[in-house]
Amino acid sequence: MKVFNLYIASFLWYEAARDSIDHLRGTISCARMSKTIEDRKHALRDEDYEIILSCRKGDVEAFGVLVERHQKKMLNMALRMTGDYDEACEIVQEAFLAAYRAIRKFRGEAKFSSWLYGIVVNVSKTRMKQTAQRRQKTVSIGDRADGPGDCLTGNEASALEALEKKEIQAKVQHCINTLDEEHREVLVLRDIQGFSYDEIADILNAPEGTIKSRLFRARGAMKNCLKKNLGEL
Amino acid sequence: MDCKHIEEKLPAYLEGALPPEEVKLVEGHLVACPNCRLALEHLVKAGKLVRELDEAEPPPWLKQRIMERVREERERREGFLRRLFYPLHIKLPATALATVMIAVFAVYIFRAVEPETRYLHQTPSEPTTAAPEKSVTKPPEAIPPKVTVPEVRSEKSRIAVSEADRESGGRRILSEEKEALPKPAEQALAERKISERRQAARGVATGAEEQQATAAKRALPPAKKEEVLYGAAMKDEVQAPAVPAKIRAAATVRPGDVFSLYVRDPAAVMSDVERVLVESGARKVTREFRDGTGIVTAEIEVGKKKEIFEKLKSLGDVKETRKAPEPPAGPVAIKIEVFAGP
Repeated sequence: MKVFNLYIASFLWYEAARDSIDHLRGTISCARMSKTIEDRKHALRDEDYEIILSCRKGDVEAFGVLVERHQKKMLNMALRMTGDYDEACEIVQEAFLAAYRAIRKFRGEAKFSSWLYGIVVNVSKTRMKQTAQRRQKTVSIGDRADGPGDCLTGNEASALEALEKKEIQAKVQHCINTLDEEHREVLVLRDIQGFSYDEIADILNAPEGTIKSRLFRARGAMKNCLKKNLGEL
Repeated sequence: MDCKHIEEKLPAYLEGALPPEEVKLVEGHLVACPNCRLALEHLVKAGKLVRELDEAEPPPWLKQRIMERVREERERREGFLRRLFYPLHIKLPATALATVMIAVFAVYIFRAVEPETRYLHQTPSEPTTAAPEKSVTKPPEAIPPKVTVPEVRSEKSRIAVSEADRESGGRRILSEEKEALPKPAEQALAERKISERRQAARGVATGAEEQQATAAKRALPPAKKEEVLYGAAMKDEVQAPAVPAKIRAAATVRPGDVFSLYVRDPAAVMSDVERVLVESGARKVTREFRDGTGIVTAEIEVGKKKEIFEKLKSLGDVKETRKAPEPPAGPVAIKIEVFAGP
């Protein structure tokens, strides 16, 4: 009798478990289907999405593709934000590491590049504050002997022209450095990196009107600063 | 609008972000104001300088450094996850717990099926009757070879064991009977109670016949009720292994009366008693003689009881020691005890 009761109990348990599993399977398949459609949408508008999926599955080398693809733009953003090449390199490393840690949280609401550049801007601002607290003197691009001058194209006709251009660019960077943080970031993103207002709105998570307003002020301030530093423009 | 306000609006004017009325206003002012025209020119040139800033190339080691740090991060995270989910101090107790649970479950299953498996082990065909006479201590008076000891067993034994089972289990029961015989009546009673309790626990239906026998047994004085009713053979039942319910249900012989016959020479009368029974159509006649007292048992038809009683009167003084409830028809067991008497 006990065996019979045990058998009945086992059978009932098995049936209940099977129903639960079937229900769960249905839910999972629906979720997978909707997820697949969502993935296709993302893949159409974001060239990085497939690589991001690979990274989420644990493919570290796929992340290398993202690094290769975005490191230059990120470096130049950080460089123009801080005016320091070494510091910019550190910022890029930190930003990529932060992106790798948080890549599972990337929801795909904006392009991955916008999300990544937003990280660079935030890391740049954080490090600039830390640097300002840590040391009084900041090294500008123009002060560096072995700075980004290595990266210059070298198409200048003469060394004099190259030196003159270097000086001018150092003064431009100096003027950028004098801008407020919020003016600086929009100027770098719009006039140096050439992002659209939509992209800047995604990167900074700010309304377009605010961005334009800040940009016009930044441009006016740059004109005044350059006139002051260069004399006749 | 003065030059200061116009200069503030020049960036938006260049971007084309001013409303048309303000555009007209700015353009009207620029035509008339050379300073503002110069400011506009400076603004365009400043923008050009900013846009013409050279792009810096990332150092060759940058990607390598980034990937190193990413790999370190991954290893650190995986190490953490491994420590969290697969550390030794979690895995070992989990394994031990699983083993204990399996063991407990196995014991439970074994206990649940134990009674059934016990029957399965006992019922397989054991050697048939196989000369049960050998295991019985025979009296000096030679008992005829046709009398078999298993039939010495009580009525209750016959109820419990079917014909087929009796044949297969006869030898084992008899060997146990030898051990049971010297036991005192109290011990046999205790053993019988244990046996009954076990049977009740197994849910085996013993049948109305057994209930009747039990009721009749209770009616007798406690000192004698076991031996008088069933004699030493009852101990067979106590010692005998449990019999499956199906086999019990197949038994049809009901317990019957017990006659006491008092004669001068019980040993000599045993054959006469057996003859009387055979003449009356009795089956399975068994007899036993021990310590000057003989016991003859048999199965008879209900209607033959009076006839046998009358015939026994011719052999000696007969008393009906125990009268069992009489069924309307069918075979009943009868037991005749032959005592030495006047």
